[in-house]
Amino acid sequence: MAVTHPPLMAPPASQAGRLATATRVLGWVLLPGALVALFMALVYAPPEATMGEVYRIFFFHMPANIVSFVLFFVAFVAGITYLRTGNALWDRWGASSIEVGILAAFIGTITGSIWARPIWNTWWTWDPRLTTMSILLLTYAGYMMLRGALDDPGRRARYSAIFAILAFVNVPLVYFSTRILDRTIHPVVFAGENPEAKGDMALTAAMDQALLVCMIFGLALFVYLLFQRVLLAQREADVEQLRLHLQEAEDA
Amino acid sequence: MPDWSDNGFYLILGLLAFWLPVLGYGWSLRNRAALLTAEEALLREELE
Repeated sequence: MAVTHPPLMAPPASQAGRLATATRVLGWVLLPGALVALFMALVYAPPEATMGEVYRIFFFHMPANIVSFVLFFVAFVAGITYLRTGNALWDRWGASSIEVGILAAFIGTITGSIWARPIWNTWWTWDPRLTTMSILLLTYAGYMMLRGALDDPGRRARYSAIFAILAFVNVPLVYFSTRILDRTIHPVVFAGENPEAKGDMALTAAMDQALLVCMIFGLALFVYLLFQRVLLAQREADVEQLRLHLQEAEDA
Repeated sequence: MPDWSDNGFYLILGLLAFWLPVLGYGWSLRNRAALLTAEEALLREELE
């Protein structure tokens, strides 16, 4: 029986092959990278003057949050590109970026909460940074719910792209929340000062170096997860295509 | 190595809060890929 359904704009095999190779290479680099990052965070960096040892959570907390912003930016760009080109490849990149970005933001929030308990004497407080971060997480959770609620691939991709573009407004809000708003206890570590911020922390050169290594490792780790997710999304599209073919064959 | 007696519990908890979700997500991706492989094989079989 002839099957005439066109492919769902699957990427060329060479493109998927290159991504798979890059993912494999990155996976192997990450194994020693994890050991180096742990060494820098736990051994190389000295204890912090007032917080002692527990501040080392920072070497994983900050990269997770920064990487989540990067991933949401990727989704923002992918959303714009999808709306311009209509290529389903960008929908897959956008959705994958947001899924992995939610994971990174969730890790950033949880590690921050654990760090806050011994330092701020509370697991949670409605500080501007924590509040805006919660709103960001809920917004992107809404994105996932929207995708789950739409069956038609075209509509799902279009609405998701628009949602990803609009939701990105959260990211600068979170970033500037500690730089603009008063009465925050969250420290401003880089690119600016807020004299009202009470949780100030000064990094020594060794801490800076450890942070740089952990940032590079964190970025590589989540990029690896993103590549894995995109590869999976491409396979999901292939299976969806097969399902359509089968349905068409049964109907005919 | 850090002095684990200085809030070591929270430090370990923080490390676990980073690594467990990462490893869990990685495992879930592998699991989903395996399920897709099985479904794809089934669909191809039905198509033939």
